[in-house]
Amino acid sequence: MRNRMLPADVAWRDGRPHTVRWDDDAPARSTARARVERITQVLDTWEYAGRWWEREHRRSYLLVETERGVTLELFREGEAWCLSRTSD
Amino acid sequence: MPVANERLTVLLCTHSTFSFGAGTATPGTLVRRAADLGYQAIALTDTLNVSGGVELFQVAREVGIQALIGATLPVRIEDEVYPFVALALSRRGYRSLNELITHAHARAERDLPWPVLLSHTDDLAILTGPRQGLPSRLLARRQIQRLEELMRTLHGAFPERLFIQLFHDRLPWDARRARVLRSLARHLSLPTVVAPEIRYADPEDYRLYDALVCARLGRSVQDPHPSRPQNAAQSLLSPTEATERLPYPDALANAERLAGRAAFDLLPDRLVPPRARVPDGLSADQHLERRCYESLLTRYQGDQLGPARRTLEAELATVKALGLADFFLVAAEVTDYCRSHGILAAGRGSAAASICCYLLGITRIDPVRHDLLFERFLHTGKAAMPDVDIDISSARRDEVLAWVEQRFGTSTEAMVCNKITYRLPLAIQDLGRALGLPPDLRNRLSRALGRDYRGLTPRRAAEAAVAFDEVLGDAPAKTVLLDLLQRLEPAHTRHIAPHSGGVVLARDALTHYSPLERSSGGIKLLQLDKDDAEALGLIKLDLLGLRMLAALERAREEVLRLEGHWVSLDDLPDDPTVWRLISEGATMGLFQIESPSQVHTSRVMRSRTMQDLAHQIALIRPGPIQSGTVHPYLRRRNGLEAVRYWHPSLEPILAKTYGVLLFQEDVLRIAVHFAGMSWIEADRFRKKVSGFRDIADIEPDRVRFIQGAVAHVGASREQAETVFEAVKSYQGYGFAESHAWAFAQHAYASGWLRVHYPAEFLAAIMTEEPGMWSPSTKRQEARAWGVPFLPISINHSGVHYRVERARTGDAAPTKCVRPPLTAIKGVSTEHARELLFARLQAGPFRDIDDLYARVPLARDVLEALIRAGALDGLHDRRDALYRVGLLSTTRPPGTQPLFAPPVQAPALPAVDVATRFTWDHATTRFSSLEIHALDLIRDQLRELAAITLWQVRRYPRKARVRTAGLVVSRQRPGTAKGFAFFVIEDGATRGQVIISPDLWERHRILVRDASILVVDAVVEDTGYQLTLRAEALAALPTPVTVRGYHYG
Repeated sequence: MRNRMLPADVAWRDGRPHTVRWDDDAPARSTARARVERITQVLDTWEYAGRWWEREHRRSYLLVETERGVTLELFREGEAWCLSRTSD
Repeated sequence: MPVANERLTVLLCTHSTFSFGAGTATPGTLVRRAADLGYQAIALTDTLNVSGGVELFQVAREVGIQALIGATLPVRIEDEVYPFVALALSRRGYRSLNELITHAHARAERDLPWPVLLSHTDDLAILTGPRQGLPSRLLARRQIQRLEELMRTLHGAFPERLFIQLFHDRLPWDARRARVLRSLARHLSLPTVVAPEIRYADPEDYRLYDALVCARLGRSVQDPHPSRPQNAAQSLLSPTEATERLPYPDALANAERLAGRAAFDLLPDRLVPPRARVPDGLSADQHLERRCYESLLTRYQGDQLGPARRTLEAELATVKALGLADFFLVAAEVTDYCRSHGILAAGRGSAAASICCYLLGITRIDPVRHDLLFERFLHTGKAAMPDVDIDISSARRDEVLAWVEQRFGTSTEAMVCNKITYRLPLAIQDLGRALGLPPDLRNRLSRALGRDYRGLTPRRAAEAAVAFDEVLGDAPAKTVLLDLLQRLEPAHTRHIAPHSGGVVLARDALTHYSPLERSSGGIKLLQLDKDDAEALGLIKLDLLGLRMLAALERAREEVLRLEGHWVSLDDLPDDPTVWRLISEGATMGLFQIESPSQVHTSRVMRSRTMQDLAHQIALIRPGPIQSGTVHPYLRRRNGLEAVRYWHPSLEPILAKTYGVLLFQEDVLRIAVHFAGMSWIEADRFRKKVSGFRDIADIEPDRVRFIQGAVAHVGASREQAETVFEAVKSYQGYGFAESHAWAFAQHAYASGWLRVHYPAEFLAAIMTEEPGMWSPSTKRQEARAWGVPFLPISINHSGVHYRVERARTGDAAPTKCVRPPLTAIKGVSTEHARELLFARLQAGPFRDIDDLYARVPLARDVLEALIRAGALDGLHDRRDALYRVGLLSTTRPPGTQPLFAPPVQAPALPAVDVATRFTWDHATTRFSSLEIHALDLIRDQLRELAAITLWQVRRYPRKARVRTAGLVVSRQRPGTAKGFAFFVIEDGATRGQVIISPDLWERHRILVRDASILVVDAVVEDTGYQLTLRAEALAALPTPVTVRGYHYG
C-alpha cells in the first residue's frame, strides 16, 4: 500500500461508512479536484492509542474497499479523517 | 446458571495487579466494576499467581457475583513459551493449578514444560490463550499441522475441558483471526469461548498499563516492544461491546457454561491446625491437658494453685471447643526446641495472656498473677486465627526455621507473604524509568520527597508537588508522571516478599491452599498474606527474629567468657540500680525505652516495678497518644491529679491504669462489662474503632455501645457518650497488656546487663544493632558508660565486637570494646574469618607485606582495612596504601615472593586526625578516635557564638540559646500534628530539637538535608532529656554524616 496522509471526509449512512472524499493535491484542497469513492465493504477496523506520553490523540482506523476495487486505509483523529494509505 | 446467548455474561480471562506489571486494577476493583456492568461471573487469571484469590471471592460474595479462580500459565513447547489460561473447576482443580504454578516457580525460566502441563490435569479447564497463545502464533506462521497435533494432544489430556479462546483487542485483523480460530475449532471438534483478555478496569488506565509494562520490561515508552499494548481495548468492557466484537452465540454460551462448571467456594468456614507430635494412645487434647497439669504443679503452690487451676480448666475447655490443642502443642514444640538448643525465645503478644502458653513454656509471663485477659487471645466465639508470636534470637532464627521445615515437612510448611504496595519513591522509580527519566533524576526526586512525602501512596502524589517542582521544574514529563502516579490504586501490589516471621504449618500439603515459591533470598513462601491464610482456614505461627534477644544472648556469652558467670535471664533479681538508671533516662541501648520520648517518660514516671515498666512501654504508642491517655496517666500516677472514672463500674477495669485507657484489653473489657457486648462483638468492635476512617462507619457501633451501657450498668447517656468518645479516640496501634509485660521482661534484662556488665552489653548491642541508634552514637555513648573503645586492629579484631581487658593510659586494666574487622564496609564475615585463621596459624601479621603474602585478599578489601585503621599499629595509612598499590602490581595476594625485595615507599605525609576521622566514618560508621564530628568545626561554631550541648544542659528552662549538633535522628510521627523531633549530638551529649510545623514548612529542604544543625532555641528540659524548642534553624556542612533513625 502507498502512504498518502491526506485530509479526507467520510460520510456515514445507517451507522456504516458510505463514501470517502479526498483531494490528491491536498493540503491545497481544491474542491474542484476532489475524488469521491463509494465504500462497498469494511474489511477491518482497529484502534491505535498514539504516543500518549507526547499527548498524541487516539486514532480509529478503517480498512475499506471501494466500488472501484480500491483498498483505502483511513483513520479518524479527534473529529478529523485522514486517508493514510491506498492500494490502487 | 441459565444460559442466555445474546451477550457475554462472564469474564474468563482477567489480570489484576497480581500479574505484577501486567495489570493495573486490584481484584476488588475488577469485581466491583464487573458487577456494575452486569456480568454474572468473573475469573481471575493472573500469570503464575493466585494472590488475589481471597480478595476476589470476598468481594464477589459482597457484590453478589460468581468468582472463579484460575491462572495464566506460560508453557514451554520446545524453545518457545505460550500462555494458556487454566481455570479450576473444583477445590481439587485449584490444587492442580497450585501445583503447576509451584512447578513453574521452581524453574529458573519461570515456565512450565509441556509434559508437566499434560500431567497435572485434575479438574482443570484449559483455554488456549489470547494473542500470544499457541493457536494465534502457529496460525500466523501457517504451521497448521503442528498446531493440530498439539491441540489433539492437549485435548487428550483435558477431554471436554479444552476451549479455543476467542479475543478481540481492536487490533488489525482481530475479527478475521477470530473467524479463523472458529474454523480451527470446528475442524478439531473443540468448543470456542469468548474470553477477552482484561488488563485494567477503566480505558483511561491504558497509559498506566503501558508504563508498567515498560517498567517490567526495563524499557522506555520510546522503545517499541511486542508486549506493549497499542490501544485501550483491554479494559473491562461492557457486555454489549464485548458481544459486538465477538458476536458468536455458541462461544458466548460456552463461556457461560464453563463458568457454571468452574463455580466453587474457595473460602472455608473453619480453621485447620497442623498436627502435633502426640504420644501413642493419647489425643492432642489429652496430651495438652497432661503437659499443662504437670507444669501447673511446679509453677503454682499454696494459695496460687486454686485460681490457676480454675483458669487452666476454663482455658482448656475453650481450646478443646475450638479444636486447637494441636496448635498449642506445635507452638510448644518450637519453644521446646529453642530451649533445648540454648536459643533465647519467648512468646509475645496476646498469647502471653494464656495460662496454657505459660505452662507449656511458650511464654514467660504468669497471666494469673498479672490478671491478663485470655479473651483478647482466644474465646469460643472467635473464628479468627489466634496469634501466637514467638520472638527468637535473630542470630539463630534461621536455625529454628530450618528445624521447623525439617520437623513439619517441606510440603506443609512455608512463610506467608507480605504484599508490597507502592509508596511514592518506588512508584517514581518504576514509572520514571518507563518515561525515560535518567536514574540520577529519579534518585534526586526520591530524595526530594524527604520525610514529608515519601510515605504517601502514589495517588496522593499531587500533595508532593513542591518536590516535583524542585527537581523536574516545568519538564513535560512531570505532568505525565503525576498523572500516572495518581492512577495507581493505593492497594496496588508491586510484588510479594516474605513476611517477617509468619510461618504456616498445615495438616495437608500447602498446595491445597496456595502455590509455593522461593523469595530472592531463598525463603519458601505462600502466595497468601496473613489475612488470606486466615481466610483460607490456615493457622500461622509468627517466628520473629528479635535483635535484642540476640544481643542478650551475646552479652551473656561474653560475661561467661570473661567472668565465668552464667546469667540466667529468667531469674534476674529486682535491682534498685536498674530502676535508678531507667529513672534517670539513661536508657540508650535498652529495649523499647531508648527513644527520646521514652527517655522523657522514664524521667517523669520513674518506674520502680515490672508493672510500671510494662505500662511505660505501652504508653508511648499511637493508641494511647491519640486517646489523650499519656498526660493524665503520668499526672495521676505521680499523685498530681486525682484518679477519676467515667463511671463507677469501670473502676475494676481501669484501676491499675489510673482510670485511663492504656491497653487493647481495656477497650475489650469496657465493651463487655460496660456496654454489655459479647466477646465476639467486643473483638469486632475493638478492631473497628481502632482503624475506622470515616465517622459514619462507626455510627451504628456508637448507638449499640450507648444503648448497651445504659441497659447493662445503668449509665446515663452522657456517661456512655463520654466513654464511647474515649474508646473511639483510642485510634491506631496500641499494645495488648500481655504484650507489654512480655516486652518489659526484655527491657529489664537489657537494663540489668547494662548496669552490671556495660562493656559486654555494649559489645553485644554494637554487634546485633537492636534499637534505633547508629553505631556512631553508641560509640559516643560508650564514653558516658565509661567503656573505652579500642582501635580496630588487623592483629586483635575478630568477627564480632569483643570485650578485652586492656590498659588505657596510666589507668589499671579495664574492660574495653574492640570493634571487629566486619565493622569495616567491604570486609565480609568470610574475610574476617580468613584473617583470624591466618593469625591462629602463624601468629600476628608483621607488616603489610606479611599480610599480603599470607592471606589472599582483593586489593579493595586491603584498602578498606587500611583506611579503617586496621593496620595503624604497623604502618601509617598512606604508607600502607602506597605499599598495597605496589604489591598488587608485583604478584597476586596470598602468594609468597620468589625474591623478597623490600617495598620501598617514599616518605609520605602522615594522615592527619581530621582525615583519619573522616576515613573511619566512611569505612566503619564510627571512629575510635576520642573526638566528635563537631570538633572539626569548633572554630566555625565559636564564630556563630553557638555553645555546646553540654553547656546548654546547665542552662535553666526557658533560657534562649544558640547551639549545634550532628543530626542523629529525625522523627515526624503522624500523631504529632506536624511537629518534628530531631536529635542532635555533640560528643556524648544529645538534645532533642522540637521543630514546629511552621518552621518545618519554612525550612523543608534545610531540615531534610542538614547534617549539622545550628539552632536558636528555647530550653524546655535539661539533663539527659535535654529538649530545645527551635525558633530558627541553619545548617553547616560536615565531612561526616550519620545514617541515623528516621521515622515519619
